Amino acid sequence: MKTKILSLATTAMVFSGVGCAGGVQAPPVCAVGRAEVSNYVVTYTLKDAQPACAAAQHLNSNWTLAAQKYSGASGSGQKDIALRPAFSDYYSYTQLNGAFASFAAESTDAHEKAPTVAYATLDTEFPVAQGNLSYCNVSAFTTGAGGKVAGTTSALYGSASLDDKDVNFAFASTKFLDTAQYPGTQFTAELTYTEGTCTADYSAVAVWPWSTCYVVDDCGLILDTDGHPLFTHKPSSDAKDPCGFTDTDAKGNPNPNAAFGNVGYQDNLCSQEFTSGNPDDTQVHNYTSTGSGLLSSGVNPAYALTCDHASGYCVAAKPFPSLK
Amino acid sequence: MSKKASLPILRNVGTIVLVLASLVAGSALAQSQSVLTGVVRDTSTKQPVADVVVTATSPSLQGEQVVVSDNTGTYRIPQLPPGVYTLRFEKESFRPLSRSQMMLRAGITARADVELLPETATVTEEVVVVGRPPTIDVGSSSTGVTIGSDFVKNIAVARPTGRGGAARSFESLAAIAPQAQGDAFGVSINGATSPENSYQIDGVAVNNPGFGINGTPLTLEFVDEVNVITGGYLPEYGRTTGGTIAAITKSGGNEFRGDVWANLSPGSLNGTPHAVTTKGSVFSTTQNPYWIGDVGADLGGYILKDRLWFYAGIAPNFQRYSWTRDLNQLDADGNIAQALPGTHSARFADQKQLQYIGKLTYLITSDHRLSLTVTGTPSVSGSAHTWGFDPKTGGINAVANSTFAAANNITTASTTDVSLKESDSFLDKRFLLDTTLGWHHQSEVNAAVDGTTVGGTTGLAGIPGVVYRRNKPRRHNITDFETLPADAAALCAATAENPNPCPVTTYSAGGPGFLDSTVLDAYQGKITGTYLLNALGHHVFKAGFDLNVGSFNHDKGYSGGTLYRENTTGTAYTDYRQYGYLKGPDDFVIQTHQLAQSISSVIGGFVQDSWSILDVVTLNVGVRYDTQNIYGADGKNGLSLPNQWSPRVGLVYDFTQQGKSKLYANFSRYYENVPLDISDRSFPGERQIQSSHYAKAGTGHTGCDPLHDPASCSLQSSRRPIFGLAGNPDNYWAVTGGDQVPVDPNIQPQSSDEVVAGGEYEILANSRLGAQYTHRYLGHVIEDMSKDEATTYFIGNPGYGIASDFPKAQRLYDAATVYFTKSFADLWLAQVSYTYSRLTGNYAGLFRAETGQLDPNINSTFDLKSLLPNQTGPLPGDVTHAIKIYAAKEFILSGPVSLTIGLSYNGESGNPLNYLGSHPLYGPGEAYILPRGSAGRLPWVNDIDGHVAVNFRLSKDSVLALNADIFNIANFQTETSVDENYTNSDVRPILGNASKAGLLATPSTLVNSDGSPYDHTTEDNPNFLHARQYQSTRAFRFGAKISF
Repeated sequence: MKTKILSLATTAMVFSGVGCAGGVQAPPVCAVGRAEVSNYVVTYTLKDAQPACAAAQHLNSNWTLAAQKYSGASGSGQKDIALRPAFSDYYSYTQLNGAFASFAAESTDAHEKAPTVAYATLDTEFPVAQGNLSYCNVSAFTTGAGGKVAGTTSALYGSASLDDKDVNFAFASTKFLDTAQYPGTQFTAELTYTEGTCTADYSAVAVWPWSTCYVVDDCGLILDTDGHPLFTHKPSSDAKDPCGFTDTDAKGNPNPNAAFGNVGYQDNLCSQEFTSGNPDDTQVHNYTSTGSGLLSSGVNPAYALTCDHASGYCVAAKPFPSLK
Repeated sequence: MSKKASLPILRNVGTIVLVLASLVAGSALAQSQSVLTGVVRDTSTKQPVADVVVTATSPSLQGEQVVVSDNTGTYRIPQLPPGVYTLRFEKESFRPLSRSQMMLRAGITARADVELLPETATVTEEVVVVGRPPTIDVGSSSTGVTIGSDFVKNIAVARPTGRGGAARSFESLAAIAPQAQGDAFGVSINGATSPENSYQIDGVAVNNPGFGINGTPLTLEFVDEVNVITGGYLPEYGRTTGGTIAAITKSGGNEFRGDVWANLSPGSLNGTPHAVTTKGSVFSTTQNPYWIGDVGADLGGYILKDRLWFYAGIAPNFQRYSWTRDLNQLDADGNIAQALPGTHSARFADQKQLQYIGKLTYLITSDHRLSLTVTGTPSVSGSAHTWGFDPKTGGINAVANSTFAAANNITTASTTDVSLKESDSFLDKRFLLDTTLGWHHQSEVNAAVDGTTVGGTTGLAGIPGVVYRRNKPRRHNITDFETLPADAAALCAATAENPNPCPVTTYSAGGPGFLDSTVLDAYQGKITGTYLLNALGHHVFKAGFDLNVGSFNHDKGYSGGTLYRENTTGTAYTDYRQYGYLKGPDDFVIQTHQLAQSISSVIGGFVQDSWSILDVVTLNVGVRYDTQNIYGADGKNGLSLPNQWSPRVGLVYDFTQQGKSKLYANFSRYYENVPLDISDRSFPGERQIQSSHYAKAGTGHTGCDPLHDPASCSLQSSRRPIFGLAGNPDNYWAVTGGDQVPVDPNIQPQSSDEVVAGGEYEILANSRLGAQYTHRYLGHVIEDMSKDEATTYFIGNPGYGIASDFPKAQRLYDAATVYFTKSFADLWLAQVSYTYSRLTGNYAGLFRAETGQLDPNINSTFDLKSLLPNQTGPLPGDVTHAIKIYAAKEFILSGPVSLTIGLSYNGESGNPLNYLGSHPLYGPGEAYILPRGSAGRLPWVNDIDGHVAVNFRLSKDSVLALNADIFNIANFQTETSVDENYTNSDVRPILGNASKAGLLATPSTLVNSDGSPYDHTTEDNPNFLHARQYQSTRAFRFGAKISF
């Protein structure tokens, strides 16, 4: 330890004792938006000259994506990451109280398997500078993310059934934006996507965490195009729970296992105010007003977002990196 | 003081001006050594006299110092330790002159201009040479006080309770200075928090390298003087945005001197404290000092006369508090209905500490002196039966809503400081070199009460802690955790009117939870060169270089590997705190402990000149440069803070031209020395993993009972799928921390600027009347922040760089002080000051007073933008009025007996109060419902202390002193802290036309964070603005001391 201290002291004397230049901070290590907090919302863009069948594919921003970074076998490595796509139809998710179909990872039903996890090792431990920004790259994932999924149907926006179709995600050239200001919360990738027998190439831009731009009523319920809630809430005379969101068990006690956590209101809307209306670009508010005292969507306020009316998510508005 | 002389012309010699600061300290010298300087003139011609041999002698000076005046008649005797000096002036053809009883305090430049009478002069009358102790320091614009043994002997100082109280630590004296006041971790100076101060013992920094607070609570008995510099200091002092509190230890001399002492503060004589009651709590507690005391002895003398001297001392101290707990039955409204019979319990809190010092001083030649000092303060607190003490706050660990083993620690702590200092002079003492090597070492082990330590797998260290907090459908009953007597248990049983008469909000049981072992070191070296030059006046050039390499090794873990926490419905337990990592999806490794190692290197240098022009104006100008690098556990640079350029410029004007006055102004920039806690927690972050467990077995899963069957919680079958979004590669585990927290590439070091101005005038001998004004404001501040509401964090400067969308950190301090100081002479002393100050902004400093969080530079202040509304206003410590009065007089009763009476009064107007609410992510007390300070202020706090001593002179060199200190004589019981949580509900701060009336109205303008209306009936905190703490009660300390 003392040897270490002495060597550090010597190094410090040599490199910083009389320097006049600005400090050179250690670059941030490569990071990704953590899965236990939220998924990425991904914008998929079909590349040119793809098979005609691609037009019928259901790859859109409903396919969110989760990422996690691991420590490796020894606990000292910090380069292993995993990606896992998920068909996160938020509308269905909300209305079905979280029990949306198909992706319960522990499901034993072969038809309800989530896509498998794609592993990779980051090319570098620290971001690589490119222009004014820096990036962490993944050249190739060792395992593709694929599987069979059961479908969901959104009556509202027309997602067709995916029942019994094989899907496969093969990511390549994945590139995370990684700086002190943007810690891996936006990435781009090349994707070869297979749905059934149709394979097509897409480019993808992902933003973390997910946030939504659709509108809700005073109870936080999503409205249809006519401004009516898709599903009605339970009658309630409880002043503390006028929307009847508190899930109860058979005895009338609060159900602690309610999958949606018994919260009365959504708290990850990119809008900070509860308003009424339809999916609306004006609801893309990923900044936090210093004076509001409200929680924001959690998306970096420097990101340029737009409202994806097909999915109801706030998605990247510009090519990667999508910055204001 | 007078002296008969035989020459009339020597009358003017009495105007010897000793430019000393008896209570307002100078800052001209490093190492806390002082300089005697002046000009020798011929009384008949008024011309300078060259080649006068000037000899300085003193009991505190090993040997004597001899210099010769130059062609301008100027002499300078540098590198003098503080003490009482005699100067002798000799030159052929002039009558020799001797000046005695010249008191020289630490770290100042004193001027004694003299006139010598030629041998040929005619004697016409007898004259009296009036010797006047120095008063005005016309060479310095620094502010603060120097407190010597005269003050400590005559005034009740160092209250026995609180942080460092039992040891009577030197740092407590800092609160005596105007513009200084106590805070939770020490003394706040000029609006800065106590961890921002620089603490020094014999020139060696003794700050805790991890947290910035004082690391060595050295007893006043070993200290000769304490120099409290609050502002306006020159570049040789650096790395602090607060003040400098420097202790100079005693030294041995050519006479053997020593002391034996004992002090005892019996709690039985204390005043009756006001009880703190909390509505809605089943617990009532009391806490009182039982006895606090210290004994000790020291001895100084010589090993080789005039060559090698020693000083040594040893002083054990001890403190014991009594603590009681009673349980109560509550009525349906949450008020205490009755005490539960047979539930009274009592327990002591104990701490023992040993203090020691050893010092050797070696005079190599008259121009070269070497000294070596070693001090130590090992301590132990807590045991298998008694509570321990928190070393940082000084408070006891006692917790009512917990088992003893879950709340208590045995804390073994130790500090060791070593200082090796050499003072050299060359070129007839015109070039001086001071070299100091130092080592500050701290260790602290917080063990379980059975002695097992962090990482252990047996005993309590191997048992997980559990925090219960169910509130739905109803809270736990105390009988869920403790076995009560039958009649008490019956009173806790549910009734139709009251389903839970003995509710418990939270309760801790099982193992002790967090355990750690800390080793902190600071290796230091500095060298300062001083060159004295006459060129258009007198110059004191200084240049120096210093280095401080600190390390913080922190072994930390949770007993049993995990601290479990119950969810609010009582249906699940979460691995609330658990070190570990994931190797891959759901592939977990739990670590019983983690070792974090952090290193900081600070390198600095300075140049400065103190230019005295015609002995009327002194221009102090200089600059300091520092650079700090912090390295994390991986050895990689975590934070680099170069370019700390600190300009300092000051001007001092003596309009009387006789050393009786000064007007001064000074500008300074100060930079912070960033403590290593930021690295310990951020470079990299603490790697933790969490899973959740079913509390009870059910279909497809088993249950987890962490208190009675911890193994049941290790079963995979007890784990619940984590709530999250589809796609998470981990189905059961969540990860927190682990990576290095990103740092703004353009981060700037934390700094504070200061302007001081003032004036002093000597209105009576030994007395000064003065006024000073201080204005301080912040430059950049380093904090951690999240742009996206706690999803990702980075470290930067609020308001700058990548954090430019955050508000700038502000802390404005303005203070005006008027003071009168009379140093101890003619058997009395006095120090009186009144300060009017304002401290406003949105950043208090290195800890958060509202929550007690001490995480320098990574406090929660700027963490989230949603925490920021209403944060600007009067800050903690914004005391508008402060009055400090200290006075003492010694009465000679008979030849060998004297009586000393000292009185002091401290009065402070109250601190600002807030309307606080809970933040949905950060919890209670983090949201400002109304602008900071809207809830009014605490009342004035008045404190009157007394000191009485009877001194018996047993022989020529020995005195027995019997004394009594009485603190808070009137036993005032003003509330000093209240509950500022208006509600414990998650709420949105009120913006726009925020008003107290709107908040209190029904319906309230306050809304819950989920947008629902706020309900006063159910959500108001019934304890809002109720007292949490009262003034410390009246306390006595009796002491006896034999000095020989």
